[in-house]
Amino acid sequence: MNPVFRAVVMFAVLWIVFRVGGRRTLADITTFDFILLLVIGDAAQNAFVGDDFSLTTAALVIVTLLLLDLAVGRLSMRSARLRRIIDSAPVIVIDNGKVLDRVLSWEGMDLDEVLTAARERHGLERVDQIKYAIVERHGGISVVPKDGCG
Amino acid sequence: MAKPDEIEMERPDTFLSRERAVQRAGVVVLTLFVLAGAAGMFGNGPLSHATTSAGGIELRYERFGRTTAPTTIEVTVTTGAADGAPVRFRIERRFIERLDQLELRPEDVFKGFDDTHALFEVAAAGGRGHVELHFKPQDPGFRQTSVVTDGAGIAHLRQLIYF
Repeated sequence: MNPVFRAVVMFAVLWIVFRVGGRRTLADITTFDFILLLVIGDAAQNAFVGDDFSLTTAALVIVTLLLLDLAVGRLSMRSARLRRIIDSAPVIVIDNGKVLDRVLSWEGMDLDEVLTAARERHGLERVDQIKYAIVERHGGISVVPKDGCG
Repeated sequence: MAKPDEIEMERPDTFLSRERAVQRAGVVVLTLFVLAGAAGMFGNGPLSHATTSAGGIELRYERFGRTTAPTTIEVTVTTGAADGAPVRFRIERRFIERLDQLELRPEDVFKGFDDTHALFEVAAAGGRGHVELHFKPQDPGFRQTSVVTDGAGIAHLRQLIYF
């Protein structure tokens, strides 16, 4: 199969898999997550080039992936709707001090992760010191302290 | 527009609700994909291998194969012939010509082509002749053929090669 076609298909497969897996898949990477990413890269490598190990094919695959990434980035800038489809949207998990348990559960998180982020970034000690906690598109957690806290 | 003490960010609740539904469905689909793979629907598994027998011919092969992945077709012809006697069979020429990187075991069993078939001859052992065709398909698609013997036995093979 043509290496450009392989690159396009694998790009789509990887995007679908990680999109389905949820934004927290790549957020705070543990040692095991890092190893898993390496293994995934290695598994995908053969799909990209097949049994053709030429420099030309490698360059072709790399450039194709880069251009696809640029194209997706440009597309997501064109409309908020497309950006949401491609990259999802930020999600509030603590709203004015109130923990949204259902939303936390949907995001595959528990309150402890939010409190960890609050401690690390702002030195906050308790939930009632948090005004907003938001799970961003990239899976990271942003914490907005209440006035006078942190 | 956000109120003065509210955070200024989009809250696409409908989109997020749909996104979660799609993710749940996606997880189910991916799980089914893995289960199908484990069962051999994409090659190498309990459902992957097929055996067909007819007219003294037994074919054992992978029902599902993948491009560039090695696969094998085993042809066993039972004739009751004495050890060392020739056992002959034919496979459709157009099927053999599509086999990429073909290796035969034993090696010297291929005897050439006629107009429509590839001819094979192997020495009998235990009343049977056994040949293995090892190859790596380069193109995806559906493949089928028939194996015939001089005794008018005929067996059919159907194989789907994935990307």
